[in-house]
Amino acid sequence: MDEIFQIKTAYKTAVDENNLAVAANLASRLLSLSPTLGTAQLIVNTLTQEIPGRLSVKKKVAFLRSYTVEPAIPLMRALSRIYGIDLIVKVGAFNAYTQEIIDTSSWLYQFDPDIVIIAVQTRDIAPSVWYGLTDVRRDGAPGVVEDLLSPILSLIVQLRTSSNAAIIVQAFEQPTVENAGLMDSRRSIGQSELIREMNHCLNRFAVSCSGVYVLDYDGLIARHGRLQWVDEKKWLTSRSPISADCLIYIAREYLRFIVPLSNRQCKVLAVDLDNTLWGGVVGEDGVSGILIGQEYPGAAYLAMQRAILDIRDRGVLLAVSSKNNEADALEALDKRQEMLLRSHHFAAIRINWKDKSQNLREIAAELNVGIENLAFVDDNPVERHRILLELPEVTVIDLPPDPSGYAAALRASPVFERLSVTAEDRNRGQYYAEQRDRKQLELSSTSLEDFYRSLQMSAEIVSVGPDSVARIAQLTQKTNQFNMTTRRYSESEVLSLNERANWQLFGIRIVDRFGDNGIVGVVFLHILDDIVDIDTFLLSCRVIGRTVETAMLAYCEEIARSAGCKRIRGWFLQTRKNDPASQVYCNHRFECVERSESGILWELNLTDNSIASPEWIAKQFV
Amino acid sequence: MSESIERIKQIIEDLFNIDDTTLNADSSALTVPEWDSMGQLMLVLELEQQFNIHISPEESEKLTSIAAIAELVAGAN
Repeated sequence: MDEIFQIKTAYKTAVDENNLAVAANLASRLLSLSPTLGTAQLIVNTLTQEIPGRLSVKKKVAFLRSYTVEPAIPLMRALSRIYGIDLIVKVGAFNAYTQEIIDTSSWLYQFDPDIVIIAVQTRDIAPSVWYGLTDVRRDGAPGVVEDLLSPILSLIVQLRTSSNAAIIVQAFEQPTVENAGLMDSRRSIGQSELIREMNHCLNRFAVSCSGVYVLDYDGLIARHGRLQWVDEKKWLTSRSPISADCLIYIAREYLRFIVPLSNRQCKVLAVDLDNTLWGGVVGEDGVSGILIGQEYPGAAYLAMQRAILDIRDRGVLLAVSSKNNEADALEALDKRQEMLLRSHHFAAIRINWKDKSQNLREIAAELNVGIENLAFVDDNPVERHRILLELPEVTVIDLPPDPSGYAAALRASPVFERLSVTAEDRNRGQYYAEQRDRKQLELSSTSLEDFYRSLQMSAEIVSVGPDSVARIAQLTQKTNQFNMTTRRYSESEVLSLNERANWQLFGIRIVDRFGDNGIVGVVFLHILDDIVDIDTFLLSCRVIGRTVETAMLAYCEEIARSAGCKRIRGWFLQTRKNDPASQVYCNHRFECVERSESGILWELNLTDNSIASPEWIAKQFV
Repeated sequence: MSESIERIKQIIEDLFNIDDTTLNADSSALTVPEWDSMGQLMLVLELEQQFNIHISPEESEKLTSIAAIAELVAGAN
């Protein structure tokens, strides 16, 4: 109680003093210690200012539901605030989701949500399975699962067609005790097995349907204990099935989706070394004295390293920020046999005695990401607090005092969640190592053109399809610097735009002598009579300065000419970050035809101009 | 008793985002507009967590004023 009171007081002070990153961190601790609706309401009502450097994101969430979801909403909104996300939530009528989805004039479509959460229970979707097995006594008859699911799946398809919102579907939960008792497992298809199969089928469906995600509700309940989860009295009196203590868990589960859907995920994880990746201080205990390995307490640090590697596999870059002698620390990383993490896993390394905030700034600059894309983990609460004060943009991950809790704390953070992992994501760490080699070559080349030639680049135009849509949408969402219009598109928006007759969408994939860069550029063209309008034109910072944009513009010209267009035009819309792209149209002899507060409209007349594709980029058009 | 009244006022203030000074022991579902049926459910969930108790539907029906809540909480401790 005392600790809660202290944190609450500190929180209110931080809000009053406008130390909003500190306030958000205290709010997060408050919600861990006292995860109640009152705490949540307090945070929602007081943490209203924008945290510096974290652009606040507004997201509209619609609940379609069969039970009372309202008690979880304040908790979900409070957690979102901590990540700078402002949720506007609307809730549908009880069990009215069918009408709400089918009727395209319903509140749902007028509200135009970014995220739809379908909160339904097994008993509503499959009452025959929940209350008895009367309907499925045809034990194991083929198609039973499909028959049970087809109404809800066709509703989801309908919603997918009528809305661009991300759709989160709650999977089916198991009963606390199977209706048939022990006999359940001896039937050819029991209740428990049937629910598992329904979930399997729902998952397969969601994987095939763009922008549809499954919330593993049964897994969530199991994680926290089925008997703790259910509050039968509140279910019977208020149609509110989740016990007071478990509401925070469903809210946190929603956050795992909301953070990536709001583009609030982190691209880089910067870690401390001593007492974070291993026990002890390498400068004092020596390489052989630090604790890491199969035996406790070294095993706790090994679990932490495993969690960090798992996060790297999702496409998050790793960096080291440690106060140490560089030689000692690198020797520990690369020579100590039990170590899972090695120096080659890190895309940037800062081991020195400088201020950590200075090091984090340098890491962001080296990796070409905004400082708000950094997450920082350190066992030392003082270092964490300093970063909160000095770099409020950085996401600071709190660790518990006991190292056995480190891995779980890191895995629980929603900033590392990804809703789809592309091949580019998985190999990102590798790209950065290759990038270092490219820089080396640049230094040894005599002229720029020699350098371009020596890269042996080849370009492939990639159309929108099942293999490319995730990456193309991701680039529109994440590219800030070399981006003409900074228009963000979800996967389903990309797909629906691609369907339209007068639009041409493509990505560009670049392979060079150091490896495959994957899809690094995106262009969306809108063909209007005799003008091609460039809606979106962006390039990943990975290939900036290699004339790829010229090849892309040359391809735009090809499209324009084959469509019989006379002019190409495109806006440059200024943001805080896209200065690197400001001269592109000008450098390709486009002329300024209009200026507004938001930017400049550039135009190229094709009757007396042409863009030559650079001879050093081989074209492989498929 | 007065100590728990203060604590309950604080809980209601946070939960419904209203000014503490307008609340007293007689404040009830009739005088606080946010204290509707959904508010009642939220309040019961909040009390269960704050005081680590379970509130039955029958008890919940009687929790219509700050004084009534204080009485229930005092009885439970």
